[in-house]
Amino acid sequence: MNLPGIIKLVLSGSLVLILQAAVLNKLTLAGGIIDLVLLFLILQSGKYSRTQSLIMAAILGFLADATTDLWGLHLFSKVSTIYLFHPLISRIQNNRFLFWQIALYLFLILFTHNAIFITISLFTELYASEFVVATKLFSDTLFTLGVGLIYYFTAGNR
Amino acid sequence: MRRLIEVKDTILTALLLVAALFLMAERTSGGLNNVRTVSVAFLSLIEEPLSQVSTYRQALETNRYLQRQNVLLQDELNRLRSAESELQSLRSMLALKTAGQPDLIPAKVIAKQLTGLNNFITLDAGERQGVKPGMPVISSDGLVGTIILTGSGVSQVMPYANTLFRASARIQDSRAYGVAGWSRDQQRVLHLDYIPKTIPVNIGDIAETSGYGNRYPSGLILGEVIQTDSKPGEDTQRVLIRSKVELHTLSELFIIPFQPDSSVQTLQNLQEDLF
Repeated sequence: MNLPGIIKLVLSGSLVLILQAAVLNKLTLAGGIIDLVLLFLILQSGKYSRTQSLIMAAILGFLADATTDLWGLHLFSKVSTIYLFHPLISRIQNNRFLFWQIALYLFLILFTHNAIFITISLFTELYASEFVVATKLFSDTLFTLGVGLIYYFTAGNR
Repeated sequence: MRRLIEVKDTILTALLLVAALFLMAERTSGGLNNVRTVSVAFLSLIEEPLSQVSTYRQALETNRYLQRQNVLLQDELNRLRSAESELQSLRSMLALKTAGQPDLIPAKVIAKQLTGLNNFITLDAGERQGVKPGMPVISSDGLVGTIILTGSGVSQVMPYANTLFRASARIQDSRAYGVAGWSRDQQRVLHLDYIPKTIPVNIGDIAETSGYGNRYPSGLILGEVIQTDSKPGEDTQRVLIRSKVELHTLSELFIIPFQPDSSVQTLQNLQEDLF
């Protein structure tokens, strides 16, 4: 990883974080929030090694926690997700898959991330209602999946 | 060493997850308060430029809410204006009525004699209060009687339940005129004579003073028609009226500072002299 690459990564990561904190966290759709940070992380981790991706996930997760005051939750869920799915993400980015395959893999990654996030949050008693848990699990996953697929078939697939 | 390199990602992940758990624990125990303060300050710095968007969205919602409230309040205002107009009309009507009866003199009953034919009531208002003989006395239920004697602070009333009581009266609906007097048989019942048979009078009609006798102003309620009698061979009928004023329980009443029109009185005197 060269210096211009690192600078570009830091700048784009900062932009995504600011966009997430300032805009997307306030735009709820059916109770769900689009997790642009996670999409960015998935997109970038395919380009780097697992270790680098884990460090990136940790930094982004920590900063996402700082902007949402959910200390440790994003860090835990993002690091876990990258650790579990880095090989799959690398395969997706280095090979050509069908639409439904990409959608299925992305859904799997997002759902796992949100499931970890909510499971951990239950221990911290963040969500008291099962309805909120279900809404967060499915709405967040589906909306983020939609945005991810749109990005993939517009900019990311070139 | 080679094995360590193979598991370094796992170790790194484990360390990061432990750090995450530590953060979660410290968050709930308050150990991260300083960091949280810094992050909140930084976040507010980021959000400040974009806060206008949020403010705009809220302003739109507030605008919608206020527009709805405006419609509702406008509707309420229209109804209140209509009520105010009606109130003004009623007030003007009341003002007209009271204009004919200005400055009622309030008085309390200090003595009563309602046992015989010569019944009377004594009031605690007299000449000092401007009370003069001949002034009508009323209560909220209608005509009580007329002042016949006055002292400096007291006055005596001849109530309707007196054999000497007379008042020019009329039926409100038919405008039939007659002379009202006490019936003697029942204390609250008056009779109204000299009403032509051709004029129909119904039970429940209201009788009031006509103002023709130059002793009472017009419109003072005498009572309600309870019976009509018409004898064969007579052109007139007798109407019985039940007064709404209960003299036995009367305690507070008003004196109308009504003075007979002297010009009318003069004309009457001239007529008497002429014939």
